[in-house]
Amino acid sequence: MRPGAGLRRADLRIRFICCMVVLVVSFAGLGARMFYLQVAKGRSYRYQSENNRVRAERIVAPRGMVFDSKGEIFADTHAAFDARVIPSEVPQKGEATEQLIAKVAKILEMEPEAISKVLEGRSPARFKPRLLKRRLTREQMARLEARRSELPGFMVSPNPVRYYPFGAMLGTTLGYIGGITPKELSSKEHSGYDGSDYLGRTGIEKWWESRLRGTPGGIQVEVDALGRKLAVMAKRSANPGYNLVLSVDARLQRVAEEALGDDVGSVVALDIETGDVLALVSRPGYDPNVITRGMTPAEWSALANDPRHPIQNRPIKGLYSPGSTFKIVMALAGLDHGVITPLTKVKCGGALYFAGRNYRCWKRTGHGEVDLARALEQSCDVYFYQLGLELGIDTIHRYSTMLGLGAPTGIDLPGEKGGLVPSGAWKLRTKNERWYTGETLSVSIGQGFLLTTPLQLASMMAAVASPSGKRMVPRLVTRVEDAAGRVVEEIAPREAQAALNFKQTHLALVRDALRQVVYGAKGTGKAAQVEGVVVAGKTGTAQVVSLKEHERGLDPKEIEWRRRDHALFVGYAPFDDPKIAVAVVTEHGGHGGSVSGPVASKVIAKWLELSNEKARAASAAEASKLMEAAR
Amino acid sequence: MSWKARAKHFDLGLVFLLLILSCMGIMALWSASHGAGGQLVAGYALRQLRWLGLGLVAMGIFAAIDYRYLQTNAYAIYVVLVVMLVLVLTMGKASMGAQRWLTVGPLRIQPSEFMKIGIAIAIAHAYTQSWARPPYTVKALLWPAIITAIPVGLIVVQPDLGTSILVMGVALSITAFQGVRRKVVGLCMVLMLAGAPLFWSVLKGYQRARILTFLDPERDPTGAGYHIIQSKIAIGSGQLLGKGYMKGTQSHLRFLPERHTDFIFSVLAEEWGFVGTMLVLGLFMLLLFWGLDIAAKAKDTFGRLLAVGLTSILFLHVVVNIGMVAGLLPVVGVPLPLFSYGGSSVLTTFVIAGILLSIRLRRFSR
Repeated sequence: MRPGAGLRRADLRIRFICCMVVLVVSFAGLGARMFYLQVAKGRSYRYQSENNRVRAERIVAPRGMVFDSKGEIFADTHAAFDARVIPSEVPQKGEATEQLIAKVAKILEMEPEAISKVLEGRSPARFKPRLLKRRLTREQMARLEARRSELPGFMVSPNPVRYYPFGAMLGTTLGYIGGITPKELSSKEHSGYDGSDYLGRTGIEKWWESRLRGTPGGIQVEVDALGRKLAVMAKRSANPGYNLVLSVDARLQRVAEEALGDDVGSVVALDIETGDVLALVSRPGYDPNVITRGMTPAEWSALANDPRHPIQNRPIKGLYSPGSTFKIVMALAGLDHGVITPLTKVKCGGALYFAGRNYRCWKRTGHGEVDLARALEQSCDVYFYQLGLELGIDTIHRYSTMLGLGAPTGIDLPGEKGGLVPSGAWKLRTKNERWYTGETLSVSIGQGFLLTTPLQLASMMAAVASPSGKRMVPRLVTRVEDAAGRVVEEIAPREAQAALNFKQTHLALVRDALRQVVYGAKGTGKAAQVEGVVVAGKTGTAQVVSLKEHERGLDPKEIEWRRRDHALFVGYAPFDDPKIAVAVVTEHGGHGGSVSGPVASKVIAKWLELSNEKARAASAAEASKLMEAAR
Repeated sequence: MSWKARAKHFDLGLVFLLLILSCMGIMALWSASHGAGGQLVAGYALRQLRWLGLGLVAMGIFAAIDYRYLQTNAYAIYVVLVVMLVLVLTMGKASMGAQRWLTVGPLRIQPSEFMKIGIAIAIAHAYTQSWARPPYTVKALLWPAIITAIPVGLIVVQPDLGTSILVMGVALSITAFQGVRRKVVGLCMVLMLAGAPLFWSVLKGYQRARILTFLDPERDPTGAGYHIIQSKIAIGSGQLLGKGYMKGTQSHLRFLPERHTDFIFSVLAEEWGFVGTMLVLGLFMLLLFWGLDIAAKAKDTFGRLLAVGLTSILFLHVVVNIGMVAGLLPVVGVPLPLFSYGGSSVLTTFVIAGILLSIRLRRFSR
């Protein structure tokens, strides 16, 4: 051992004496503190412990608001009051307690057993207020307040509630909030919540919960035996939740909702450049005010079991065969993969005979010789059967995936469905069966296993129309602001991962054909025309069930509603400067062109009006600036 | 020396002292586990008994090992513990927002607990091996500073503020015992002032909140501030003789937070009064004097420094914990040895006792 660390005996002595001094001084300090707390101040602390009436109350943070892109309020908060109770302050004296509970039960119109149940148990801590009843009426509030001296432990506390000024408009997308359940309260991810808190249950309210919620404050008050506040010992204010600004324009949304009318279905309008959701309609929907206000189990089950599924947000959760709208994907796949050229022609005699079966074209008499442009315009099934055979299912799968089908688009809403784009591997995996070529024929015209959401179709249309060739992730919330309106976060437009590399000539050919769908002599989508702007698009009719022989060719109105085909239309405008992409799915609407086309037309017309208005306002501002400069 | 001769030197007094404190700890835990209605909430006290049994075995093992083996393997022990700390960060199990645990088969290990002992061994060894004589210069302190900074940094980011301060405290205690130049003290102060913002920046939100709450309890009236106020009411309401065993109202009505772990002393103070707190403080002081005595009579420098370091671990735990529940120090989450519920804490305390016994046993051997 080296001698370095060694110390002389005398040095060591000093050190140990120092250690002892430190020890004695520290313990004397602790002892003195104990003396101060327990002996000098003991009596006062004993009193406080016996009358422990230091209450810790929460100050609720108002939930953030939701605005449309022009500042219209879509979700607001209104004042409301809850009845709460602090179990440790309710006297525990058998009969007297029962009478007390009976009194409160009468005021609140509750069962006494329900109140007793709230008072039971020791979690959350008994000295913390527990929720008794939400949304007191004015009368209940007044009566409870007035008799507080007779009702120790019971109190009225503010707890703002949600209000949706537009009612059912955009309702399924906004979602709703509901009281937190005991089970959620005890889970880790809700550790900061209180039993009286509301929670976003679905839609934007759920997805953006952490931003909307805010931070509750707290107040520590000394109260007397009757629960009257004597002094505020400490206070921390609440921070209100952040406000959200949506990409949706309420004016366009209203027109889109009305355009669909009483039909069941979806309308999606996207900004092609940014992916902004301009309108998102799901009909029938629900009024989130009604759900947030609290429903009886009977009301809830009526809503949940309605055969028209009003609580389902169809644009992101509804799965439909894309029908002929899928031919856009097929056309691009065929050109890009090189199995067809613009000049490739197929002879349509009304059906394609394959593997012992006739695969019919919708036009029984046939289209004659058609090239790609004409096949798209007239939606010739035989052409695409032939194309599907050339491509094969796995190539179709690849191009579909590239255009965003088969996977959630990534919109900021919970529960978005991914749909299904089948492939050989998929079939083997899930059905333990090999892929049959006949099934490729169904997929080629957007039927069979293929399933898409309306949002996916709109996003696909936007990607095909996009001058920059980018497929954007749809976004609803563009900006997060604090209560004072300062921007907290800008949500930038985001490109979807798969980049599109289609040749400009191929895209131009498909786009021209889509314009012909709307304007061509034999186009199927003429009903989508809009005055003042050139629209391009594709109709689709998706079979729900295979119709019986006698039902074929009948007017859709004569077929039972649930057996009618779904009517689809996807399109964009303006043709030469694409800005807005629209997808319309009308459930059991019959023919896409005649039912969904006009809906898209109305949406695009309104969009045109709004953007002209904006342009006029801008040019007026410009003009007045020039005038000023000239002066 | 034969086993028989060695047994003569076995320090029964220290073991006896530990057992008395352990018994009081179990009693306090038993009381803390009972709710207002008298029903048993959880078998904390029983589980703690099991840990005490394990602790006694660990103490025996470490008493039997010659502490000089610890010296020969000082850096090996240190490196193993540092590696475990790294593993905790990369694959440990998060609990309550912090990654402190390492799961090895059925065992859940908290390496930071054992690092307290590891650092005492490493630092004691470093000074024993040092070329320099105390009082130390900056240059002589460089190496000990490095081996302290590594585990402290790894524990701060877990984040476990209490344990990292303790590890640093142990290293500082041994260093202060040896002595440093005045210039070094000045330099440290300057560095601390300069380093404070950096330290602040690595703290997690709740850690900052605790420090701010300590400085200004009104900041968080329903959270940590509430805990301190309720703890003070509990201690104070015990008055001179206490409310009587199992009769504390603060703890049983659940005003007191974490009453099994960090705030167990408040339960005891409420029920046993000033007399009880003085008894516990007196016993702890005796235990610490005992540790110093072992250090003073140690045969070699390593043994002496190690005993000083180990005693400082116990000292820091007791002073920080009681200071914290009495509202003198911020709530940093340091357990009270032999009282707070927790396997790692019990094991650490008994391993410390075991090593102290080993140093005591071998004071005459060569």
